[in-house]
Amino acid sequence: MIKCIQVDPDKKSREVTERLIKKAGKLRLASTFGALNKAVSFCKKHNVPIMFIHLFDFPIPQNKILLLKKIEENGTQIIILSSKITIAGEAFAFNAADFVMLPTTTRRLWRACIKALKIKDYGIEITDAQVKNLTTQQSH
Amino acid sequence: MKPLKLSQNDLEYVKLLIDKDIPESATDVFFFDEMKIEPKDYIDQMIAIAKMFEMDFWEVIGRNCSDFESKRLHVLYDGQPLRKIIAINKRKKTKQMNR
Repeated sequence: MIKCIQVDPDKKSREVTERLIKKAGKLRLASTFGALNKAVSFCKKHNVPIMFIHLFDFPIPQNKILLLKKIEENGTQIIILSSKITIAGEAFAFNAADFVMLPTTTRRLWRACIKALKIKDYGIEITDAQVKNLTTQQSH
Repeated sequence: MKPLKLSQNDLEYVKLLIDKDIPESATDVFFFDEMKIEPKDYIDQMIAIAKMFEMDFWEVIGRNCSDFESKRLHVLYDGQPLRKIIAINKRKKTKQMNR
């Protein structure tokens, strides 16, 4: 199981993402936060390979970018979730692993995780064929 | 609508996302039920997003999805019953098999 956390101030969308994470099967949601600063403290204490963050504001506020950079420094791969596609361009300013447009599917979320883990080189060697196989399994 | 301040690279990336992510979500058979969203609302939203980047939603769907998926989406958008498109597809397959 791959440990992950999520940051989302919106209760409703948090629940939707939680459902998708559970459905992915290979992910374990270690914790959920409403505020980014709490996630920073958590990542400092625990080894968290993946963090999902729901962003609303465009442009992304500077204080959030600084906090996200801190999380990234701890070795956590950041996956941005947003319904605002314009955020996508900015998301890569702090080396986000992937940007997922909301609403999304379990398959897309899982693919973002695979991409993030490949970037992190988490010791998991996943071939494209295996990714395809895994994503096919998710869709059934 | 606010003017977008994106660099050329960012713009290209956003266009790539629209081209890949929208068709994938829209044609996932469980998507609308799972997300509890109305197909028409979602598609209208995606049409607007694609338009923002001078793209045509239906053209993106046509290019990235199968004929069946594309027709299925049109039917969902128009609010018609899905059995109509299933019946058309069934007839088409039977015809192909009889050839």
